[in-house]
Amino acid sequence: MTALLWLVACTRSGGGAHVEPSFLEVTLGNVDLGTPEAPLPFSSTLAAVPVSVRALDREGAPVDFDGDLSVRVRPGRLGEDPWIQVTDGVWSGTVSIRNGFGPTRIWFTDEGDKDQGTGRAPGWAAGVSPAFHYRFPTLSEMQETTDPETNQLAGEFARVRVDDRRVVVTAREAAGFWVTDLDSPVGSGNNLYVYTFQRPPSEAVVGARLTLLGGIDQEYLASTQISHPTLAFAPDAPVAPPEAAELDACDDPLAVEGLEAARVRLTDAVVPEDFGPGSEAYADYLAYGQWPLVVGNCTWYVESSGAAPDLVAVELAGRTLPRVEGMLKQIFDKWVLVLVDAADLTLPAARPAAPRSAR
Amino acid sequence: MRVVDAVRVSVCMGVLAGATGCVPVAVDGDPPDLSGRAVRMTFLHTSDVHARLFEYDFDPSFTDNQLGLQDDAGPYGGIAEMATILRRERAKAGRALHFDSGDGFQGAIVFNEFAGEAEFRTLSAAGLDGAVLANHEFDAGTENLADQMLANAAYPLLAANYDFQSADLPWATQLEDFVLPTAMYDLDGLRVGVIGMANLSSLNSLEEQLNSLGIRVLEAGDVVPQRASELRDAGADIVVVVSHMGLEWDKEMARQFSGIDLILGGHNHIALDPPLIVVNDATGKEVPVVHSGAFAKFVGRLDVVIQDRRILSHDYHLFAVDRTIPKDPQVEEILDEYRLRLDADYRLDQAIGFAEEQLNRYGSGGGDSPLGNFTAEAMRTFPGIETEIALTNTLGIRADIPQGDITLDTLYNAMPFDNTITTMFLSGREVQELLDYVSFRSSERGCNSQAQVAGLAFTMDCAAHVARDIVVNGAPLDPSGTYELATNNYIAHGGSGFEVLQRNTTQVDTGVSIRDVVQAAIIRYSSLPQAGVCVEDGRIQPVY
Repeated sequence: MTALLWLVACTRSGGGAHVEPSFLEVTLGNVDLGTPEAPLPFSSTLAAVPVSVRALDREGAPVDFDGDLSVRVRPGRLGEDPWIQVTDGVWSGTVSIRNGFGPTRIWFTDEGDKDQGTGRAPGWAAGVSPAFHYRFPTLSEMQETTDPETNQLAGEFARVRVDDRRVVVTAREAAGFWVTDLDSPVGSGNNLYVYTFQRPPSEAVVGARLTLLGGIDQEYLASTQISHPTLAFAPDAPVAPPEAAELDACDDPLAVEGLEAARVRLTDAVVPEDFGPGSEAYADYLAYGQWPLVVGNCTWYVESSGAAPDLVAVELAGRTLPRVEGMLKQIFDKWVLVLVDAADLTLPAARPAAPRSAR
Repeated sequence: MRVVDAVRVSVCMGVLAGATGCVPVAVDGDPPDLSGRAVRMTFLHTSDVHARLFEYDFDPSFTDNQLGLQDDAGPYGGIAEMATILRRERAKAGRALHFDSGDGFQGAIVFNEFAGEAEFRTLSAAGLDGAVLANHEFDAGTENLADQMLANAAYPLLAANYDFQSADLPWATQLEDFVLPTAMYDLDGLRVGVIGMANLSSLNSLEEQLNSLGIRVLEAGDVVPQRASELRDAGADIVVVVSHMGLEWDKEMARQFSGIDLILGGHNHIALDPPLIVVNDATGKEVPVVHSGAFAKFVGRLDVVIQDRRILSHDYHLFAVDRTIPKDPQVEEILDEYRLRLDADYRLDQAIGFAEEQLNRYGSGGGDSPLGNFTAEAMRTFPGIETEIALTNTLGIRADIPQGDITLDTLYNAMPFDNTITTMFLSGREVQELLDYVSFRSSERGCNSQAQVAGLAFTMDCAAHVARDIVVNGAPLDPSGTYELATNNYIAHGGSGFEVLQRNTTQVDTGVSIRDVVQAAIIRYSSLPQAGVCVEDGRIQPVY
């Protein structure tokens, strides 16, 4: 095996005798790393980091190595092609990174060449930069996006900045709860659903303030949620949750996205006259329990089975509901108000009895 | 100049072995001095294969899709396909180890027929470096486990929290000798210490002092810190726990025990991508907690960078096992032996019925389900059983039955357990207690009913942990009445915490296989669902 690799190493294109490194020494240029006590701000804008990499052999001595190294940043995102090319055992340049949070490091690994056609066998040496210390993102920073179906940290085990903010529970249900950052503007993406799978912890009462919030950041059916959460709550008395935000327009998807997971309200919303057997909305209602409401030119949906299981929505076809409040979630192209209490729904007055002559 | 060879592994089993002469394999000379140097290490991870050695069909969920298992890419799973991924990823790593978090047994007919032989042989052929002992490994008996392990496992089985003590049970002695608490692996100078933590929650008799398995259970708090310390003293650069304790325990261990650097877990059948990161209370160290799914659907790969005996950073990738993955020829050759023997004894692909649509084991709203209702009704009405009511645990049904032909193979995948029907008489008050417990247990699982019933209807109040408005065959429950119940012998013995059944003294184990009863019902109806049969009818109404 050794002889075979020797042969490969000596005959790769580019000529010369080459040796795969055993270690990679990574140094950073003049750059502020932050500290745990004074972290750098979270940023979704790329920052160029000056970096040098030096290849070392098994004894830690510099080695004459030509080849590619892969680059990654954990946690966070890279701004460019995740490969660099090392010549004569060294590389110097910049690596652009964004969305780092907590201790963040840049990795380099010898995984073979980007162009696998060179036939160079990887040596698997690795090196990491010293840690940057970034602040965790606020809910609004985490959800800043131009695409309503994703967010800045989707796919990460995310940590959210809550320790110096008023992030409070706004509602709870059988397998999760909602939170809002009261220190961010309404509609700025300052709300989130926390999926607990089982009954939320007893401390997660409405108005409770979180002191720790982390978990897997995922887009579930196009709604942002934190699953498998790590949680801690302040012992403070619960505060009043925010008032519901009025939903009055649907033509700007990003504006609606900014209210995702917030408590929202519809006023004088109409259940479509044609909502009934044979309609697509009715089929969806039977399958998923969501029923439509129209305000102006916007159609919204309501999920009431948890909070008002006895409600037969189809009996409301053609009626106007004075008030509906719920937690806003996105299900692909639909926006759905999830009722958490039967009192969130004000039903229309009973239909007046028809005149005797009309019976 | 020197060319680095492929890294090889020496396994030194047990801390004592490590301390008394486990010699690292030198690669072109002595291992390098790793102090102050960053080193990459790759962990390949599987768990809860549950005998899905042969590929199978099912309808991936949205979560499966998100994790990379695409619709219409079936059949899925298969140990030969997993082996291909494992060898491919091992080839794309330097220092690499593959650990399995247990429950390789139980879940398909190959286990019912060969009692774990095929699982041990194929996992060994796939290059597994170590596995934790898990609850379903005991499903064909402890003696069987010992025999199969000694004959067929080419990797160490680990369980630091089991003490096999009983001198009266010969297999306990065998397990004491061969199930290790820890293992040490040396990879070109990097020493990885591993602690196995076996399951506590799913073996009924484990809690009892002199249990029938001959096992004395040790507290995690007594085991993990001590073993981690021993491994560190023996030179481990990092300490890994390979666990079948379940996710909540894994999180607790990471939070409480400062000696742990990484947990590779199983038991809950979940895939976490990315892994959880748990901050240790005492040190602030961030500990990755990895779960890589179940039923041979995924293979996990965790790359870590280690420097000065600490994990500095990690990156995780989950690989879906589907039909795009070629079969590993070495493992496939072993599987062929079992395939031929199964084909000779059964006609696994013969249709016994037809599913007009997928028959789900969970209800759409968290209550009763089509397959649950069908199973409970089949139990209650089977000739010779004929009880007033039936109740079985939802988790006893392990998979949905996909749309299309229902074959013996799909039936075994859905109902792998060899459980039998137990009948007993319950008072009305005991029925109330039973359904209250179902409500409590379900409330801890998102108010998804953990039982399926026949002859009963009730409102499952997950907030109050009580069952309300209980109706028995159309009449309100009479607290003073007496009702005959058909249930499965697992929960009749107190499995899943059903103590109200365990203490009942009128139990009769009929010996009638639940799977056989369901098979007979499928054959009788031929096509499912039908009006009132194998449909969700709201007999369990969850509220929360």
